[in-house]
Amino acid sequence: MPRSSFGSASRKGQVRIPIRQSASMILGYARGKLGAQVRAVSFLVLYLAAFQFLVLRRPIESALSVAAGIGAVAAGLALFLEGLFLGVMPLGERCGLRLPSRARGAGIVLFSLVLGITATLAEPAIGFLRAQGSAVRPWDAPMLYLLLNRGSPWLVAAIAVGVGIAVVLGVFRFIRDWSLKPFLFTLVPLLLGLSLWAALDPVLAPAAGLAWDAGGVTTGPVTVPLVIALGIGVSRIVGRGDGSSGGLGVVTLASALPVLTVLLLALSLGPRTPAPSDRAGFFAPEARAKAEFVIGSAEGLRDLAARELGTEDYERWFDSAATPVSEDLPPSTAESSSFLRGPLTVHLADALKAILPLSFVLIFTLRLLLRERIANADEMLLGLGFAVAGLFLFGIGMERGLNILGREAGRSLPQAYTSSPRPDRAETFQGIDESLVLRARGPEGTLEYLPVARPEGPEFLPFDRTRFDSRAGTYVHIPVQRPILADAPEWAGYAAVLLFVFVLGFGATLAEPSLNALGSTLEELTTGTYKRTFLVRTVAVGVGFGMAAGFARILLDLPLILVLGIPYLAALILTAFSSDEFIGIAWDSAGVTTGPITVPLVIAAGLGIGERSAALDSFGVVAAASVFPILAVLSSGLAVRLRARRALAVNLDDL
Amino acid sequence: MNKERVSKITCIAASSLGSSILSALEDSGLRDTFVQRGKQVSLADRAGMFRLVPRVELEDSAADIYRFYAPPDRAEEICARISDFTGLALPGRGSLFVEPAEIVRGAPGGEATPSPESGEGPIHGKGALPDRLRLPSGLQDYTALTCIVQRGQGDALARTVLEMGLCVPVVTYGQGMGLRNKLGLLRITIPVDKEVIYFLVPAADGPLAENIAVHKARLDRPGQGFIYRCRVRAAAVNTRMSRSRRRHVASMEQVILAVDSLQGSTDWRRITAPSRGRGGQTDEGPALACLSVICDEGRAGDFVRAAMEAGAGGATLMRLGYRDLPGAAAEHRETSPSHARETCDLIVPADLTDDILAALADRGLFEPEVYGLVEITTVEKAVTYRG
Repeated sequence: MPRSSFGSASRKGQVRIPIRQSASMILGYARGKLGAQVRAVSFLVLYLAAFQFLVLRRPIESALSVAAGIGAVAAGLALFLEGLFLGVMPLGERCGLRLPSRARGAGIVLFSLVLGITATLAEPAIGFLRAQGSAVRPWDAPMLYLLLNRGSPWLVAAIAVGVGIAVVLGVFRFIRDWSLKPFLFTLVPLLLGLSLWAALDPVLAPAAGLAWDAGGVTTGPVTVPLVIALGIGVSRIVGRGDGSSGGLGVVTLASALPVLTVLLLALSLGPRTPAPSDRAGFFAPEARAKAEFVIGSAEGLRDLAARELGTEDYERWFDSAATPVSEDLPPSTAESSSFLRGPLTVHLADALKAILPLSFVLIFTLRLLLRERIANADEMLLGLGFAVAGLFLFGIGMERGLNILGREAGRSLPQAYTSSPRPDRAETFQGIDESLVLRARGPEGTLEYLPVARPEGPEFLPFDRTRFDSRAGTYVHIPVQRPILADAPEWAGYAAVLLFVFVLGFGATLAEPSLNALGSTLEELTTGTYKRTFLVRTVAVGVGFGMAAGFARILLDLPLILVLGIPYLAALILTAFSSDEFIGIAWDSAGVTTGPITVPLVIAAGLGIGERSAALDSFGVVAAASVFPILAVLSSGLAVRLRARRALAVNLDDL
Repeated sequence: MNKERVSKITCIAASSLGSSILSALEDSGLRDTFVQRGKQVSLADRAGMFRLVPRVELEDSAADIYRFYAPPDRAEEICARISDFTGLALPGRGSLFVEPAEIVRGAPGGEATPSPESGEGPIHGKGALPDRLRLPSGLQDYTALTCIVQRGQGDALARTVLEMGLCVPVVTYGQGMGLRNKLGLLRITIPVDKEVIYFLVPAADGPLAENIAVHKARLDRPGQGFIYRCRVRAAAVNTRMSRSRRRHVASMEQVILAVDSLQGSTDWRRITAPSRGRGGQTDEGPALACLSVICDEGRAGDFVRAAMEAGAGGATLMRLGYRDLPGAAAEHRETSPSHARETCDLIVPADLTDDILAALADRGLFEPEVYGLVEITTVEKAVTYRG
């Protein structure tokens, strides 16, 4: 019943809720959070499953495990996001609120630098970059091999320094009230210029893609919400009360500066690194010193040569009496990368590594340096626990669920435009002998066929002697599937692939946790005038186009500078005409999109196509997926501004 | 503790008018203001795909809510100046209203202090107010309703009042503090996010609007939120409820404004019969007050706990920005390095006010580094479910 009285004074302390009612409250809460994430990933899962069943007509291998994995992804995302909102983001925002008023310039620089570097070292997606290194052969792209294997600690250090400087600049930008525009108009042309220079140098060219990917990958699910919260805190305390998206922009810098530092690292290593060549050229004596630098030691190079070269070449170029060749290569960083390995402890370690060092830095800063009591400490600790548990479950789920679906889809993508063997439909025929094999002459020479009886009539199978066991009299036939678009021109196959990756990028982005965190924060900051769903969908469309552009580059072997340069120039032009509010949102979205769902799927699909299309690598796809959302958000911002102007014009009519 | 009687002036305006408003405040000799982010909601006609499925949708437009204090005798003049600078009288721009208030703070002359030219005749600010800047109809009687509901439920309520042609709702975000904070960690299962919806309706329609809100937002059920109303005097009210195409030489909002001006009040607009025999009193409940506790961001939780221990039932926490105006005298310029504030609105029985103020003072609200301030306004009526 309604009462108009607020008269009773309550002096009670904690309220005790009966266990049954508590359980009901917890259940309702968990259902709500989980339901939201199930909805977020459902589009992607249904899309990949439908693609597998309806287009490829293949069953999903170990479907039960995949289903459990997808469940773990949804549960992990729900826990992780709740952990962000309860623990990580309040800590970051509180640091931002207190830092400018209680620390001097040097203290702010030190804190920001430590935070940026810690965030990078803790970033799980860095592991994906290393994982990409396993697909690189040293003679194809020596610089890439160097940076992803022996030089990976240098690479990570360069990225960390880039992110650290970005956080410092970002914080001072708020304190000094600097616009983001000068940063963008300086950094982006500088990066494009360096990339162009790198692209023209055969030694550096492969590293350009890696540098841009590093920029996208570093701003992951923990770093992004944290630096956004920090930025919002600083911006609120020094802000002038205007600018609804105050606090954005650090992510942009944290995406751009690692590109610069990685390119500079590559430039510094360039003189000591050989140019790409064939296998023999890499091991040739005249290139020996540079090859040894790439591999790390003379012994390492010798071991690799023993595995990769024939005996004749090896003995010609190496003293065979010298150090005996070891059986195994020293494990590369890529191989030792824990990210794609299975044990639960590895995922738990990754989750702890991602959350704990950052939390420690923030709590240490708040308690000991800023002398600030942490409000709702129990809630914050619970949030950190949720974040760790969420990342742990998410890691397992991605490996067992979504990654398998993505890998399957990626591997199968070239079927759209090329024939492919189907070992899953292999047939073994008994009682086969040589006399049954038929030979036929044709324009391509003599072909062999094995006639087999089918219920619908005889069939002539192409005969492959490698699958014929003459002693057992068995023949294993592996059918070859014609391209799905066999009767269509080649471009139609490519178009089908690009359509597939467009939808894949769109669906993956809908579920990206850091984008959802950014969207929620933005909705809160703007009191709902900029809706989370609007941001997520706009960015998802951008990522879709970006992925299509990135894959078009792989399929058509386009230069990276073309795929990145034109969109970035267009983004700069749009930036010149956009309001500061949308510039921050748009450029931060670019860093946010390439998170833990999109990146593995992009790489899985990219490597699938890369292997099958014999393209050099799939680097650059992540970077392309980052730039197009900028265009999408800036365009939407301009549309909103035009609409607002029209509304104002109507107002003026009213005068 | 220092208590001071002031006029609390609230200006809700489209974000694009920010610089005009600040110029007007500066020109009026005011030193500072609090700013809160919000949105004005209106109806917009949408043609739909190929103009096949026309529909009416809610359209949000970013707005800022300025809250500042002035000596009571200067309120009308300041409102006139703001109205002149920003054209608030034009439909669609915003609303401006005044209510009597008391502000309590640690020492005189701190933040949000009314300018010193109080009660000294008509010369105020940087110059005398020309006649053309006076409000044509003076200040009109209005009722301001503040409705706090769960996040996401505000749209339905906004649509209802818009479709009934009552007013243009203004929405901000806040957080609920009350029972939730007494549940230990179990509190995370209760959504903390709230929507705070402000309605400004002619005084005569106040009870009707309240009943509609109670009915539509189901405020008579447990945990759905609450509503309270205050008497205010409005200088400008946004009446542009629909952003449809104009087809006549004057819009309906302009016609209403003209009739208001001719009638000298908004009574002619009432849509319910006046209640008899209540002597203007609409509620027989105990006198209520709204205590807005304003302090440096991040500290309000402690003070709300203190207030609740002293008898307050709950609070709604909202973020504010503090803005010192460039023209303020140097000795009154704010010295805080922080511009981040938060406000907690507590609706309490008026006789508890002193106890709560004492508890807040004991908890340190009026310490210099807290930038604490309590604003007390009279609440005409409040409705919620009380079990």
